[in-house]
Amino acid sequence: MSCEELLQKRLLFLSGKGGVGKTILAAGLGLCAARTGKRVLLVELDTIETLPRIFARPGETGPYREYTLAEGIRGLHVDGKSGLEEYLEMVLKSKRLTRRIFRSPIYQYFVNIAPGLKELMAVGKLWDLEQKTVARTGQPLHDLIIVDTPATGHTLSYLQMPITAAETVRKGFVNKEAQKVVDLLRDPIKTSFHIVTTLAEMPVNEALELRDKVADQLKIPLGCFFVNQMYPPFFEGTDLEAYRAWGRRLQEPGVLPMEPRIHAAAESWERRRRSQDIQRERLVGDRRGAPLVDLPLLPTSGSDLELAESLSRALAAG
Amino acid sequence: MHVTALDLDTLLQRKRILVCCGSGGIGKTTVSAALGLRGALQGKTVLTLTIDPAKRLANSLGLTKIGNSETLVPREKFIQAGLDPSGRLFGMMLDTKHTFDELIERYAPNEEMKRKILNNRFYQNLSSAMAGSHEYLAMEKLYQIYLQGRYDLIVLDTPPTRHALDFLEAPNRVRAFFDRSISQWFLKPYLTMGKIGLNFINRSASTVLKLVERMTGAEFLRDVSEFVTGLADAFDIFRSRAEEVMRVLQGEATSFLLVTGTDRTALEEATYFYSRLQDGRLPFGGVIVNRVHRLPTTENPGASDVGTPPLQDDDPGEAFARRLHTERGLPATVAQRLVDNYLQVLWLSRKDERVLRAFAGTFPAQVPLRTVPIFDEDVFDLTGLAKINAFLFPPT
Repeated sequence: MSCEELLQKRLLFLSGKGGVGKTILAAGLGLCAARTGKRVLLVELDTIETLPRIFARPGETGPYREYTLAEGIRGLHVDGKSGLEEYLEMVLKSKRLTRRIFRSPIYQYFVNIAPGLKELMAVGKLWDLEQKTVARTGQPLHDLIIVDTPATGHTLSYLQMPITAAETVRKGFVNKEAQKVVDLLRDPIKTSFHIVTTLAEMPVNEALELRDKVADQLKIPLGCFFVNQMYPPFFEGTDLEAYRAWGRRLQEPGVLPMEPRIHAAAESWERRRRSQDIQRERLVGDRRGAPLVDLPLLPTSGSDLELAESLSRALAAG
Repeated sequence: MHVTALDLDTLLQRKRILVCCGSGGIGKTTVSAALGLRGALQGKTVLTLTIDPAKRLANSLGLTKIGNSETLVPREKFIQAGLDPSGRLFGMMLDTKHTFDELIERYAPNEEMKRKILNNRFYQNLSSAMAGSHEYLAMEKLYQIYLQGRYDLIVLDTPPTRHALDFLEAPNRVRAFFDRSISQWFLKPYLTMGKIGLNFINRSASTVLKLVERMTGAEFLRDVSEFVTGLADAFDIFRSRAEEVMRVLQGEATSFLLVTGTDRTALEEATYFYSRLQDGRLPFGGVIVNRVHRLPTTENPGASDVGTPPLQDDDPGEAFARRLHTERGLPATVAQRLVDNYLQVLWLSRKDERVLRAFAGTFPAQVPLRTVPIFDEDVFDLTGLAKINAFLFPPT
C-alpha cells in the first residue's frame, strides 16, 4: 500500500499495543502528508501528550488548543472532559451559566456516571474537526486528521461509545450527536483504522484481536497493519558466507580482542530477526485481506523527530 | 539515593499479596506470571490474577485459554519446560462484567430489584461509564479471594492504564460514585416526584438536571435513578468494602511492585508512584526494570577478550573494522557493519546504565531494584518465565 493511498482518507486512526511506536508513526505519517502539501492535524486522543516533545515545541499546549508542530502540521490534544465543557459553552451561549454548571458537584457527578459521555464528546470533537472549513474558500480546514489513540482497550471503548450512546440514550442531543459521529466513523470514503504492531507475540495477538473487534463489532473501515521496527537480515549472499566462515574461525588461535563480543552482538541480531519472521508469518496468515506495510528498525541514537523523519522517508519510498 | 538489590524471595516468603503496577507495554503481565512461577516452584499455592481482554496472562502461562474462574496450569506444561514445581500455579482472568453482576446479586435488596437492576440499561453500561471500575473490580476480586484464604500467594497484575497511578485512584473514585449525599440529593427526587419535583430542589441542581434531560432525554435519567434507588442501601456496603480493600492493601500482607522500562518518562513516573504510595500508606516493595539493554555476553570468551575494551561508544570503530578486514580477512563492508552493530548495542547499554543511575540519584529513598535484560526471543511461555526468573532471583 503506497503512502499516497494511505493518505487519501480524511480521518486516520492509529491503534495497537502500548510501546509499538504509534505516536512516532503518527508524526511520520504527518510529515509524509505535509510534504505533499496537505494541511495535517495530529490529534492525541486521551493519551499522555508527547507530540510537542517529539517536535520540540513544548510550552504551547493544553487541552483543546491547536498549536503548530511543523510546517503544515498542527497538533491538538483531545480529552473528553474539556470536550464536554466546550460543547456546553457552545450550546448554552452563556459563560456565566456554564461556569456555574462546571463548578456544581452535581455536574461533576453526572459527567462521571453518564455512560461514555466524556468519550462521546472526545470522538464528537473529531467529527467537528472533520467538518471545519475555511470560511473564504469552503475548503476543509484540515485535509488530513491523524488520530493517535491510547492503549487498545481504551481505543475500543472510545469508539464504541457513540454506538452505545445512540442505543442507550434514545432521545435528545446525545442521541443525535452520537448518530452523526457513528456515520463518520463508518464512512469508508473518509475514515480508515490502521493497526500498528511490532513483530512480537503479544503485540501481534493484540493486533489480530483488535482487527476483529474493529471490523466485526465497531464496523469501522479497516486500513492496514503497520509492521514497525522490523529487523532487516544482517547479511545476505556472499557477505553471509564470509560472516559464517569468520564465526567458525573464532575458536582458533589468533583471535583479536573484542571479536567474540562483536560476533555475539551480530548473532543476537540474527536471533531477533528469526523470531520476528515467525510472527510475521502469523500476521500474513491471518490478516483477512488487510495489507501489511513494513517499516524497518531505525537507529535509536537520534532524536524522536529524526526517527519520525526517517519513518516518513521509509513510508514515501514504499 | 542509591540502589539496593530487591530481595524478591523475602517478599515471596513474607507477603500474601504482591501487586504489580505500571503503565502498559513493558511486560507487567509477564513479570507477574514469573513471580507466580517462582512461588509455585517454592511449594506455594499461587494465583496470578489479571484483567485483560488480550489474554496475555494465558499466553504467559502457556495456556490457550483461561476462563473467568481459577485455572490450574497443568503439570505437563512445567515438565515440558524442564520445571518440577512442588506447589501449584493458578491463573485467573477477570471478567469485570461478571464481577459486577455478582456484587449486584449479593447486595440487591430483593429479587425484583435485582432483576430490574441487571436489566437496567444504565447498569449495563456502567462498567464502561464509571472511570476506574476495572481497576476497582480487580481489587474487589483480590479481596474476595484473599478472604477465602485458599492461596499462599496472590499476584495481581493490574490493568494497563495510562499512568501506574490510575490504579491507586480507583477506590476513591468508587467511593465518590457511591456517595449517597450527592447521588440521592441529585436523583431520588427525580424518580419520586417526577418533573414537578425539580422545582423543589436547589436552583443549580435543577439547572443541571434540566440540561441533562435536554441532552439525554428523560429516559436516561429514569434509568439512573432506578439504579441508584434500587441500590441505595447497598451503597454504604460498597463504600465500606472499598475501605476494607484499602486496609488490606495497606497491611503487612501486601507489597506493591512497580514494573517499568528504561525510558525516561516511565522512570520519572516510578518516582512519583513511590511518593503516592507513601501518601496512601501503601507498602512499597521495589522496582523491577524490564527490557534493559546490555552487552551480549560470549558463552566462551576468547582468552584475549579481557582488559579494557578497545572500542568505546565515542569511537567510530573504523580502525578496528580495518583490522578485521586486513588481519582477519573479512570483506571491508562486512567488517564495518559488524563493528557498527556492536557499537549500537554498546551505546544502548551505556544509555540504559546512565538513565538508571540518574533515576536512582533522584529517587527520594533507597530504591530496591532488579533489572531484567531485553531478550532476543519473545517471552510467552514457562521456559521464558524461567529465563526472567534467573534475573529476578539471581543465585547468591
